[in-house]
Amino acid sequence: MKQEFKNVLDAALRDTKVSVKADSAALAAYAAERTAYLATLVGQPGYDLALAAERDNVVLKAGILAVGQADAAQARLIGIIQGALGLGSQLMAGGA
Amino acid sequence: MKRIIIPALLALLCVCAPLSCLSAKARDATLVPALQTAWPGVRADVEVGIEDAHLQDPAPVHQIVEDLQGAIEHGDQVALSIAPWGVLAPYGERGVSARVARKEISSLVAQSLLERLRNFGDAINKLRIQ
Repeated sequence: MKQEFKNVLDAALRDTKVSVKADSAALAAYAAERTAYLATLVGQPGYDLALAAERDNVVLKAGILAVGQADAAQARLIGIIQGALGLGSQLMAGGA
Repeated sequence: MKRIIIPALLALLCVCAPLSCLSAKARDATLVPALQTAWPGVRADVEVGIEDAHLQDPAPVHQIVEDLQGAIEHGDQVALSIAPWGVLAPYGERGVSARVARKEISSLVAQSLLERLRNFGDAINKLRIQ
């Protein structure tokens, strides 16, 4: 059961790291997409407004992704705590 | 075994418990500043839309704008989370359309401004889910 406990923790931490990488990649992809779109607007009326809007878009998306990531991490931590309490109580009740 | 389990559990809780407010910190540290960055541009579009709508009494809508301005300035998450963005969003879209009609911006530039309105709305919605 001790090994099971360790496996649960390892899997949770591994998944969290994967989630962080996925969100960074998602933000990079979004920034690249918006930059490419902005490039098509050069010389058009209101280009300066589009430049400011695209800056805001990337900043907002970063915030949205960060919160999504934090929510997922928090849910995972709550799961870890619950799992640890459950396993710990079983181990103690077993008196092993 | 109890001598191992109890300290291990306490150690785990000591590590995990402070991290359990990650969501609130992320909202405070990233989402609110992002809203503050985007707000001037969003507000400009909304105000053009209100002006273009020629409302008989625009005061209530202007009041919502002012309330949102105050919440953003103060980084007030609670006030932001209950801000009636659904009332302002159509004025923002109308403002962008009005700018295209006035040839102030091209229709392709308008897409960038509309994307910002969508992201702004999504960010406000993220504050609501706690």
